[in-house]
Amino acid sequence: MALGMQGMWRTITSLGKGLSFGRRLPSSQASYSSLWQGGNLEMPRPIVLLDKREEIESLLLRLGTCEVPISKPFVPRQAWLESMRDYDEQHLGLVDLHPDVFGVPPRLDILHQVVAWQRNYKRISHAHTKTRAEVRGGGRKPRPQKGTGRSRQGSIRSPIWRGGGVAHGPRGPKSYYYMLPMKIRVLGLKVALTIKHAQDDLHIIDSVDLPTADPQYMMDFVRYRHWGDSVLIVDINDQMPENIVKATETLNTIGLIPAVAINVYSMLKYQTLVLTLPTVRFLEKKLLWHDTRFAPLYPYHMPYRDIP
Amino acid sequence: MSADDSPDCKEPVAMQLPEPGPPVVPAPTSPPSLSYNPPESSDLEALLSSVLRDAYRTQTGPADWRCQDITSEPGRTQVLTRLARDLGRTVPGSQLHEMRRGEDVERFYSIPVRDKNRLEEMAVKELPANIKINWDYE
Repeated sequence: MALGMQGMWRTITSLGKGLSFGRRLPSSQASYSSLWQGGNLEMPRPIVLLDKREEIESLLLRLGTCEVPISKPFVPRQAWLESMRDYDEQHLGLVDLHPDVFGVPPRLDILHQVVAWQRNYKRISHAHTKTRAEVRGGGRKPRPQKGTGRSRQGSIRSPIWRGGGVAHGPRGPKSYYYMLPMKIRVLGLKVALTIKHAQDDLHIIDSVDLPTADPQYMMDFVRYRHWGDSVLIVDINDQMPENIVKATETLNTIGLIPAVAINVYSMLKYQTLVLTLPTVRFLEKKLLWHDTRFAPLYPYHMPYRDIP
Repeated sequence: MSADDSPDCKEPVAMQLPEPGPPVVPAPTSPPSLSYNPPESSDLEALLSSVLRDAYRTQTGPADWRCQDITSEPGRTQVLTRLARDLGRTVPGSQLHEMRRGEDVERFYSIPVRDKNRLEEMAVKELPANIKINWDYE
């Protein structure tokens, strides 16, 4: 990671801002097929930039609601829809956020588990020491067993000798790979999104369009909107408009990632999380499917026809 | 290409495109202050009642605007954006789902917000001659 971690961590303070705790009943969908929209890993197309105010408003009304139904009595969370095209475009509309993704109980232990897993599962420690058998030399007994008046020694490479082998040292390379259960990782994403929203660090934009590719505009904009010291911008596709890519390339406090790269570590590392509206719907669809799925008949990394 | 070509054929000339003007960059402005001082309660009530009545004019709501339910669109967006524009303070995302009735909005907008800590407030005020603030501390 490019940024130093100490400066970028924020302690998660009080979360008593209207989170509803307690167990959730399974979502009351009429049929499971209503969740699956066909096609394997099909991503929604990017939103098209419209000029007319009426078209924008009708599109926002359509996109402002959650695609996955919300079971009563839960009500959706909400967020403002903003834009990056001008400093003052902050109130384009209201967006509904599914409560089972953006309103889950704040499980800090799950966050810890997922962050620790993310740090450790890729770790391979290459620390390696030689034992007394591997150190060069040491085959001959240095002095007779008896008669010299000195301690008895069998080899000059025993661990008590200087230059000898290490008795219980690291025997690398060692892998720290392990996998957390999929549902724990999914819950970690939900908890991180919930906490970002509850602490007013989540912003939703209609698209990643900038009026200019100047990084200075980006810095001024972030300061004007009070978005914090560091911002993570998540778009739906990995092909992004030229302006945002050029503006954020040289800035190390503003990150730009596609939706499939979102992870708990990055969400906690950057102070503010900015999602585009298609990204929100994509995440809701992907994360909510796990609440009602069956156990796999064969591993999920192999192709399925009906998974979102 | 050569002199044998017909006199109508001319050498290709580069097209004169208009000079691209400077990029339309919005001028940088200083960040707005996050402090909020609520207006007088009577003014606030008048503003809220007029905004809610305008937004939910067609619906036969309760007589008192405080009991008006503001969860239905498009009146909800209209109410919240108008109040954000008029009062200079936006309901943050974490509290949007709590704004269900007129009284919730009234309670939110009657709470003042300060964005300076006590030291900064003291620095701006007029201090007695024997009090000095030392900013260079270790």
